[in-house]
Amino acid sequence: MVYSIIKNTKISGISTLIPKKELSLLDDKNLYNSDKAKLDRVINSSGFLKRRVVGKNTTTADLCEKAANDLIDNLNIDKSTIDGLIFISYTPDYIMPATSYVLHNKLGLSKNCIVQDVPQACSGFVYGLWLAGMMLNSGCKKILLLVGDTFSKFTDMFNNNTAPVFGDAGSATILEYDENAQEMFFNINSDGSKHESLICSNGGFRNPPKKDNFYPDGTFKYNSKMDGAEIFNFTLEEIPSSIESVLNYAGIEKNDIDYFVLHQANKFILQTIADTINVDYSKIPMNTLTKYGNQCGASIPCTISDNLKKEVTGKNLKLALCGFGVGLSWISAIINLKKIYCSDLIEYEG
Amino acid sequence: MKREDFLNEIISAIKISTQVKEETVISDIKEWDSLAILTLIALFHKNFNFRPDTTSLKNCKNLKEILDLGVKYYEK
Repeated sequence: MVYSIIKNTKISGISTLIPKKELSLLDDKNLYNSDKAKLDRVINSSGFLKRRVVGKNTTTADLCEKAANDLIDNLNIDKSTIDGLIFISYTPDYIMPATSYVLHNKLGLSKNCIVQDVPQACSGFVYGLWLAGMMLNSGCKKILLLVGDTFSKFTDMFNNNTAPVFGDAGSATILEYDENAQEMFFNINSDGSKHESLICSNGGFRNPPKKDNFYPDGTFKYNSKMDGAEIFNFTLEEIPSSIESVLNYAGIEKNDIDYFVLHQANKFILQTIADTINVDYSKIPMNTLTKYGNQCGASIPCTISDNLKKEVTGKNLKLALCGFGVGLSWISAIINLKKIYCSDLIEYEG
Repeated sequence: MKREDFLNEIISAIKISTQVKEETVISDIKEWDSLAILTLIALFHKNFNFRPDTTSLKNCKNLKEILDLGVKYYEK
């Protein structure tokens, strides 16, 4: 485990976008051969029911751009003062250049700005907070952190493990250098030995596109696979101890945490984590996944916007976060949100 | 927890609707799917703080082999 304290870093605002188009497991005839009993079991156990998906011509960058503009407008930010942009996603616009350059242009940012793409999914938001904090402590003053994914474009509609699970979303967070900001604490981990547990193996340079990688309708077969059992075993083994250890590192008791905002992997996993760390379910929001699906890196900011907006805008909150997934990677953090700007969930038409 | 009690926990948690015994072949249990595997992992974790290797779990052919994964944890 890597432990890290990030000082002088204030989160000023969070904005989250979800596509308007909604799909429901109840309407999907391709899944489970319309076996109603099986469908009921999946819904009751996993918590998944609905998800939001983008249209063919919309990318993660589109969602994040709109979220960024919402923050810029509502926080009255002078764009020329943004000196860092981080785009965290596995669904970039292009192989090259990095999508952060595309967004740099679309947002009209100044040339005095460091931009970077980071390929992370479910750990992305928490990882991004840490990375932004590192940048702010080495010269930057204002970072725009954009986290999102459109995994609906990856998933094979006939794959019961992945198709009904993932929903699309994009988020933007502004972090600023502030010597009076409370410290954030992080615990960061990686295990590449299990990288095949969650993988889209086609389309990169290891398995470049070829003729038999396409469905009859012309869409590309990304060959997405998720080993649910391996991922579940991993979460039980690593996540409770990661959360406990970052609390210990920060010198904070569980009772001092207002909410545990965890990546919305599935309800079964979240309940099992809650039981293991002995935290009441009321302190761990779990409904984002039911309404919007597993939104990868955007699931944590979406949960904050959807469940905690009134609280984070009205008072100071101490949150424990944990993102975990692709890589495999898992990152826990203790952060404070001090009356920040937080948008309602914004719907994106397209 | 005794071995037979754990078997009853499995039957209850996975909601197996037919009569089964240790010799019952997994592929004959209609409720046995990827969700059942997750339920099983959770049961081992909750009751014994033990997580069976997932490959071994998926290779089990009958309920006896599943139960044998936790053999050192059961009460005599």
